[in-house]
Amino acid sequence: MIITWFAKVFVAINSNKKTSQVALAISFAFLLALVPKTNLFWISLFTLTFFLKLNQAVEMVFLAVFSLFLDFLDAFLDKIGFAILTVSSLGDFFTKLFNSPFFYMTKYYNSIVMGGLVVGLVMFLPIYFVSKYLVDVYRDRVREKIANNKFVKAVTKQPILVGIKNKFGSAVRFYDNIR
Amino acid sequence: MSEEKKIPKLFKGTFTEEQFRKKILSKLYIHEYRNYINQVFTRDPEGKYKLKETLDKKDITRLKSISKSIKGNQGFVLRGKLALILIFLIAVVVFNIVFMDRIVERAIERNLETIFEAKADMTGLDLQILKGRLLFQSLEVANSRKPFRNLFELGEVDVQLDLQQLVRNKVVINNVKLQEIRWDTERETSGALPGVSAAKAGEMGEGEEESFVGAFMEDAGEVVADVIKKEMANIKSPKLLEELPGKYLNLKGEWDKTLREQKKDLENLPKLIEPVKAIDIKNIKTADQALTAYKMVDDTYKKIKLTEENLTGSFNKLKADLNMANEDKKSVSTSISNDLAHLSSFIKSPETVGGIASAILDPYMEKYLGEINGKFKRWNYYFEKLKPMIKRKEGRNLVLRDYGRDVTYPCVAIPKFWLQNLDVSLGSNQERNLYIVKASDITSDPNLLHNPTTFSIKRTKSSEEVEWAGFIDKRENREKSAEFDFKAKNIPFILGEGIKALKVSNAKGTYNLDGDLSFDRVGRAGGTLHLQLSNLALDLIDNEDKIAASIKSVLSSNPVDIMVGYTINEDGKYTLKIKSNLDKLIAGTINKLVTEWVAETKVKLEAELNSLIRAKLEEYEGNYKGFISLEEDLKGNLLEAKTYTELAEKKKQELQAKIDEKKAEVKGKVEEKAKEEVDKLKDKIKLRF
Repeated sequence: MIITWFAKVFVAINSNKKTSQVALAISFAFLLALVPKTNLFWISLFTLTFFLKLNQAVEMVFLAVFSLFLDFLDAFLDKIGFAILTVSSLGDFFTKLFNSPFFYMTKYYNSIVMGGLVVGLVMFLPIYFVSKYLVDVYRDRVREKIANNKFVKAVTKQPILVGIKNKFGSAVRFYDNIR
Repeated sequence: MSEEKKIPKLFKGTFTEEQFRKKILSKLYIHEYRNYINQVFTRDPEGKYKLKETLDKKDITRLKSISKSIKGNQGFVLRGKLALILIFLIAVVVFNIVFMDRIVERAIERNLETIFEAKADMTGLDLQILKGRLLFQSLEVANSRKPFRNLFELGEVDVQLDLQQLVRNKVVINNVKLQEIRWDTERETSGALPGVSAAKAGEMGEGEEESFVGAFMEDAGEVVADVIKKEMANIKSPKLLEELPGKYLNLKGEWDKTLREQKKDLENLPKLIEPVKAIDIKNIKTADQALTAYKMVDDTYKKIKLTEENLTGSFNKLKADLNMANEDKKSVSTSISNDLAHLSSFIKSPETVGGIASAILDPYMEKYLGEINGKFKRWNYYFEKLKPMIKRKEGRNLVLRDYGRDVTYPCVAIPKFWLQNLDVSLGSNQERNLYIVKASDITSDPNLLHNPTTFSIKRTKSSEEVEWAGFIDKRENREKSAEFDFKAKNIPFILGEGIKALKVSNAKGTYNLDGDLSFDRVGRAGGTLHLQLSNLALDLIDNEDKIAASIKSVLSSNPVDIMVGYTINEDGKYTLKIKSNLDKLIAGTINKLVTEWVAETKVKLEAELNSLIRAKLEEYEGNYKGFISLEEDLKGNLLEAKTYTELAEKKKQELQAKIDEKKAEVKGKVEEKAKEEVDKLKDKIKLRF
C-alpha cells in the first residue's frame, strides 16, 4: 500500500502532471496535517480536495510525512492558536462563531485547530510556490541527471527493484514511455 | 491515411507559432516531451507548425499519451466525482422523501414508549426538514396502568422546529399547534408493552385509585375491613404469631428429646442402687469388708451424682427458655394492644380530627389530594425519564491532540430538548365550550433555562369553569418543585359515600373551589383549599327519620363553607386542618349518632383483629402450654435422681461409721496386746536385776 502510494508520487513528479497540481497537493497536505482531524473544518477541507484537480497520491503521502513532525509543532501551534483566540478585539467575532451551530462544529475554539489553521493558511502559498519551483527544478535539471546516473542505473538493475518494477509496471512503464 | 486517423485530435492541422506555443508547448512540463514534440513537428512554407508525415506507430502511441496527459491537466474541478456526489445527494433526498417519515415516526413512537412504558401510535407523520416543520395526523399514548385506556390522545399536530439547533443535534420546538387533545380515552387493543410490569408503572401515584380508608360514618363493618386491609402490613401481632407457634413447637421437640435421654439415664439408677441397698451393715464383720463396701458405694454415688448434675444443668437451661417464653407472652399481649390502638386511630371521630365537619370531609380530602399527589408523582416520573434519553453524552469531548486548549466564549446554552411553547385552544368561548392548554419551557435540561416549566389548563363548559395553572421546576437551585393554583366554579356534584349513616342516600349540589398546592424540593406538599357547597339537595333513606330531616332542612337553606389547610409528607401521609360552618349547622343533630358509630366501629375492629389472629394465637398458646409443662417433668426427674443420691450418700455414711467402729476395735485390741507384751518384758527385766 505504502509502496503503491510512493510509486504514484514518483509517477506524478516524473509525468506530465501539471506542476501546480502537485504543488497544490503538497500545500493542502501541509494544511490538513496541521489542523487536527475530527472536526467539521478538517472534514470539509479534506472532502474539497477530492473534487479539486490536485494529485491525491502526493497529498496523502505528504499528509503522512508532515504528520510525523506534529509532535514538534503542537506546542508552537498551541501558543499561536491560543494567542489568536484570546485577542480581545476578536472576542465578539469569536463569540458569534461560538454561537453558530456550523462554526461550533469546526472546533475553531481549540488552540491547536486555530493555530494549525492560521499557520497552515499563512504557509499555504509559500509552500505552493516553493513546491512548484522545486518540482520544476527537478523536472528540468535533476530528473534527467538521476535517470542517466550510472549508480542509479546499476541500482535499478538489482533484482529487488526489478521485482518492484514488474509489480508496479504500469507506473514505471509510463515513466519509461516518456523517456 | 489509416495512420493519420489515429493521430490525436490535439495535434491535427496546422498551428501558428503562437498557437503552437500556447496550445501545446506551454502544457508540457517535462523536457523530453517538449523536445520530442519539437522533433515531430515541422514548419511548412508559410511558417506554420504541423506534424511530420513520416511518423511511425511508436510516435503515434507517444503522441496519444502526451495528448491524454494534456487533457488530464485541463480545468480545476473533477467533474466526474462531483457528479457522483450529486447523484448520492439526490439519492439521499429521494430516500428521505420515501422512507424518512416512516423512520422518524417509528423513532418517535419508540421514544414515547420508553417514557410512558406503554404503546404509542402515531399516524400521518410528515417531516418537512427544510422548513423545520413536523406534522402528524394523530397520536395515541396508552396508559401503562390501564392498558385498554389511553393516557392521552392528540389530533392533528403541527410542530415548528428550530432548524439551526437541529443542526447542533438539539431539538428545540418553537411552537406546537394542536387541533385536538383528549385524556383517558378508550382503546380497542391493549396498550401494554411486552415485558413491562404493571407494578413498576403503579409505583407512581399509588393512591390514585384507592378507596379511602376510615371513612366517617360509613358502615362500621366496611370501615373496619378497609382499615385492616390498608394497615395489614403495618400491624405486628399477626407477624409475631406467625413465628411463635413454630418456635415453641421446635423448642418442645428439642426438650422432649432431652427428656427421653434423661429417662434412659434414670432407668439405670435403680439397677445401680440395688447393690448399695443390699449391703447389710450388721453383717460386716471386719474393717476390710467395710472398706470394700464403702468403695463400691462411693463409685455408685459418683455415677448417680453425675446424672443428677446433668439433670440440674438441663433444668437451669429450661428455666432460661421458660423466661424467654414468658417474655414472648408479654410481647404478644403488648403487640395485640398496640395494634388495636394503631388500627383504632384510623377510625375518624370528631375528637381526633377536630370536629364533625373534619371527620366527614377528611377522607374526601385525602382521596382528592391523593389523586393530585398521585398525578404529580406520575408526571414527575415521566419528566425524569425524559432526561436521560436526551442527556448529553459524557466523554464525547475528544482530545484532538495532546496539546491544545479549548477557549470558551459566552453563549446561550440551549438544552438538548426544549419545547418553548405549546398553545392549544379548542372550541369557542361564545358557545361556552372552550378548552385551552398552554405550556412552556418543557426541557431535558432545566438548569440551562431561567424559567421553570409552566402550564395552564382551562376548561369552560356551559356555566362550569375549571382552571389549573402552575409550574414544575426541576432546576437544581429551585426553591419549590412545583406549584399549582386551581379554581373551579359551578361544578355539580353527587355525594354517595360517607353519608349513609346520616340516613342520607346521596347529596347533590354545586361547588366552587379555590386552592393552591406547592411541593418543596424533597416532595413535601402543602396548600389551602376553599370549598363552597351550595344548592344542596339531600335524598333521605328514611323520610320519617327526624335526624335526617333536620340535617336536610339545615343544609338546604345554608351554604356550606369549608377551609382546608393541608400538608403531604414525603411518604404520602396527610395532615389536614379543616374549618367549616358544618359543625355549627349539624353537630347538635348528629352528635349521638357519631358517638354510637365510633363505639360500634371500635368494638368491631377489636373483634375483627381477634378473629384475624385467633387461629395462630390458639396454636401459639397450645404450644406454649405444652412447652411450659415440661418444667414439671424435668423437676420430677431431678427429684428422682436426688432420691438415689441421698440413698447412696446415707449408705456411705453408715459404712463410714462401721469403718470407724472397726478401726476403734482394732486399735483397742492392738493396745491391749501391746500392754501385755510390755508387762511380759517388765517381768523379764525384774529377774535380771
